[in-house]
Amino acid sequence: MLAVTGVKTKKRILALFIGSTAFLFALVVRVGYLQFIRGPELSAQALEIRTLDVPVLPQRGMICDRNGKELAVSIDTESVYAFPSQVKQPEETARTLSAILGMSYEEVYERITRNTYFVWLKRQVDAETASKVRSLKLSGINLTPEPKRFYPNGTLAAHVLGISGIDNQGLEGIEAEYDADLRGTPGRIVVETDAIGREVPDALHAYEQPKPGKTLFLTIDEILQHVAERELDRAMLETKAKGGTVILMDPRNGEILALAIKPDFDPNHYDKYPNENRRISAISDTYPPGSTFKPVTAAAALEEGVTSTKDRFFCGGSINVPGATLHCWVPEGHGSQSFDEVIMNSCNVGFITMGLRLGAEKFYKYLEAFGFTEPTGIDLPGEGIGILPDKSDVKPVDVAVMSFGQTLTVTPMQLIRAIGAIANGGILVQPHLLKEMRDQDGTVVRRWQGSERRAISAGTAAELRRSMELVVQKGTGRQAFVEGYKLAGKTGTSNKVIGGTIATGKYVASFVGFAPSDDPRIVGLVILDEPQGAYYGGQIAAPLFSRVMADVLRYLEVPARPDIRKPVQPWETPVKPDANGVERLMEIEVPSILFDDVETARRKVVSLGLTLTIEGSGSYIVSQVPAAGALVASGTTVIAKLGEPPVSPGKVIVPNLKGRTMKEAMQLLGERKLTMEAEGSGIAVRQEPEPGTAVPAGSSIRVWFEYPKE
Amino acid sequence: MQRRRRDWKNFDITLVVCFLLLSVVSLLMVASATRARSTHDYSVVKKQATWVATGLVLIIGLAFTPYEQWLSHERWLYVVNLGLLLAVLIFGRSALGAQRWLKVGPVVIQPSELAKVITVLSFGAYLSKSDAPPRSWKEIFGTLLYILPSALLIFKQPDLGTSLVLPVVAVGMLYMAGAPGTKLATMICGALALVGGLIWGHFRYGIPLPFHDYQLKRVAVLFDPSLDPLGAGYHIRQSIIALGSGKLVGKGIFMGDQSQLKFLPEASTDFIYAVIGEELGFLGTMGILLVYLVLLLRMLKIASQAKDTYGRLITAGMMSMLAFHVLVNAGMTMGIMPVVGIPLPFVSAGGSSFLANSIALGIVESVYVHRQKIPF
Repeated sequence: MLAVTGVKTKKRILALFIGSTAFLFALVVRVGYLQFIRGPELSAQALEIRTLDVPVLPQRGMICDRNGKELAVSIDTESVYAFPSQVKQPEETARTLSAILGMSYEEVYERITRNTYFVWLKRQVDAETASKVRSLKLSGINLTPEPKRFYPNGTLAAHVLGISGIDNQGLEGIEAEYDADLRGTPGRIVVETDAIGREVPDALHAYEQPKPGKTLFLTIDEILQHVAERELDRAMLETKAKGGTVILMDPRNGEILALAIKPDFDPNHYDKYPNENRRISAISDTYPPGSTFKPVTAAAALEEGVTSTKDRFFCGGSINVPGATLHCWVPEGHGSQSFDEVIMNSCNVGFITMGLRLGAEKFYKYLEAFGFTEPTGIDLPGEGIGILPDKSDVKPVDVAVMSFGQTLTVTPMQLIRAIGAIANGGILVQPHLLKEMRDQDGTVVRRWQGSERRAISAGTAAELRRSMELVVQKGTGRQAFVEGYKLAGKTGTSNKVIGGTIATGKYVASFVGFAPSDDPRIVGLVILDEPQGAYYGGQIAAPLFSRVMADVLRYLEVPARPDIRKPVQPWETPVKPDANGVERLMEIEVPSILFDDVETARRKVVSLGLTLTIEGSGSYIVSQVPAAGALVASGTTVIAKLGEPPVSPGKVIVPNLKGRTMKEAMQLLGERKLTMEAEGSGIAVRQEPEPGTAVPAGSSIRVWFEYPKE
Repeated sequence: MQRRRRDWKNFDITLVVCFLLLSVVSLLMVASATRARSTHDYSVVKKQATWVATGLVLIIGLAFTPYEQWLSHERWLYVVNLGLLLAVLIFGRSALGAQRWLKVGPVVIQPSELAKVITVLSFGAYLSKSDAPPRSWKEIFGTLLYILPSALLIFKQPDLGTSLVLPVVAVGMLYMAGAPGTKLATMICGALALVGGLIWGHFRYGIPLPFHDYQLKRVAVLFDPSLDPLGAGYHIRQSIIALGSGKLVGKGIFMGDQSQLKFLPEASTDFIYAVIGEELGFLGTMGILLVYLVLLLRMLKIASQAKDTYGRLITAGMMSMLAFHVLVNAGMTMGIMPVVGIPLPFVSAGGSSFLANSIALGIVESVYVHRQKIPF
């Protein structure tokens, strides 16, 4: 028989004693860790495992215009979902559903057998499909109301409204800006289930009702938005511009009445449009404002007292500033002008003079006062601000150039806000789109609260309103005139700056103005981006502004005054009053532009108040309609055809030198390997051989120069 | 009568108190885990109550049966054991993919449960009959050959958990018999390392193993639950969530969501410890472990007082068996042991296991009742 010593047995029993205690203690430690340290976390997991959550989406709040017209609504649709664990006969269910939902059998089958507790089958189905699915009463297949966004007006105000996604989320525009208010609170159905997905009777079973989102009333007026878009579309067609913007704002409170941007998109099907169409360029893109900025320079100069409206300015076509010679847009200069005339003629030299008198310090003070150093605070996502040179680096030449709206860039919204301050008597308002917000009972829960501050004195603003009125009456903005109303405004044409350098041949034509000029109800900015053909603000933007304003003023029931008529222009000398006492306007003599290059021809035609359309391609104008010497009404279009005159080898065409300075004539001839024999001095009046003649390269051309008689 | 009274005086009441405490918990938790209150189906609970009553009778009956008689019946025990296991293999009923049950008249028994106690009795006899404890590697492995046939038969059913019990019990008894401790420890560590290495190699390099993949995965998921997130990993995760969400005092009997809603698999049997954790909290889980501790320590005390080596060896064997069950079962619900289907002694629903454990307790009680009399 086996015998073990008592001592050894005792030792081993003690070892087992300690061992048993140790391992049971280890188990206690482990279970304690799970139940104390990880208890809360595991409790949450336990709850999560056994509840099925069915989302019930709320109605997304409506977006209306200021008069309650619906711009974005939610329509009721239903979405089909499955609890795969509750689906009893997946094959048959998939077969039935695939026919009704228009999905493939494989796709439905894959979804309803997926190893998940909840899966969408098809979202936002129409009412008929929904009722078919409902009547089948398939186990595990359910429906939940899911509102779908609908924009009844299609592209109208698309940029303002923005877009929203399938999950009730605002993605862009007002939809994104006020997403939290529009969204509402989703409800849910909570179903407690057991491990195989069956509902537990009498268990946790809750229905939380969704809360619909708030209704937004915008400051936009659907009618005015429509007018703005219609006219912008028309102008885009006529000018073949790449893009365009029309902003209409109430200068008294900053309410945006219309914000039209082209090209646009339909928010119902935004995926069918290029992404860049959705860019709210009016608030996020910057451009050199050009002459439309000039009222700001003038306001600053008046406010600081460095200029008075009685001052006179001399423009000789260019001005020397330290470091550069800057030209006016009229090469021969505007001569001696009053303050009003400087604005009327949009004379660069005049504004440079004012800018230089102000100096960088004061100039920047007004950039700030007019809000060019900050976003406007408009309630849209993605607002940008214009780019200004750093104040500490600014040299006089920079101030001079900024004075007429180059070098610096602004967003359209920044500019209209600044001009709004001139219109409303000196107050810089906050442009905005939200008028008020209402809950589902119609109670107003929020009204727009903006901030405003004084930019300039009421007196300065009044002076400028008067000057800007003259721009429309007899200055560069005559085409903005609206019969029966006093309008004020400013034209602008600027070279586009792309990647920091001036893009030749790419222009931005714009017009900013307000009406009625003695008590402005509306301030507007129109911009045409990269127009083809005519590109001056006064030629293409002003007529657009005029057409928009004509409808706006009538719609706003601003009384028209019969005494306000299209004013007589300096070159339009009245011949005689007709039988009704209306003065007939004298016609303009069409200049000769044959054998001119496009640039020269345009300058000649435009300076007379005509417009020019170019056809074909080539280096010279080879024919023109109407012919030189014809008498036409102001604003008539001269059609010029480009081409290359027949030239035999070694021969060149003599250019038209008429109206050129000696320097310019030499340059033109030099470019064609011709030499010049000059007679007299001043401006070219005659030449031999005549323009268009083919001569051997290196020939000498005689040109007679004379000073024009005043 | 005289003798009876004296025997009662020698009876160890602690063992029976522990047995009764565990039985009460068992009845309550089995009722809860089978959702008897909501389904009004008390059949499982009633059956369990029958097992408790039968178990109690067995304990008392065996307590007053001198244990020494098993020593002389060693050969018979061995033969009967193998016979039952073979019968399972040939006539057995299969359920849940394993062939573990044998129908004898109206009773369905699970011979592998019974095999555990029979092995303790016969292996104890085998060891105590030798002249000296096995000392060399050869001798140690030689004794292990004794249990090999039954272990293989159980493994074949397949019942991995129970087949593992036999070598563990054998090692416990060898230790008590005085076999060299370092060699036994080396053997255990070596076996664990071998198993671990093979499983790793199987999943990593496809080394073929005579195991079902699900068995291997149960071990592997302990280290990487993502291996089988919806199978073995699912069991462990649900069990840990159930335990953890019970926190200090639990959600109350019948109130555990994990178990009531059937997220917890095998709630009334293998995972009943998780139900205790969820419904009775840390107080419940710790309390149960405390009862086991008392039970095990009491058995060690009885081993130390046994009048002969055979009594000491079989007590150590029964103790090792119970300890291994508690360790593996509770451990698997906590995610630190593989899910091998070993019931929690006296608590999990199921007759064979309950009665086998009762027999074990009765035999230990017998060792105590017939212990060495301390001379006055």
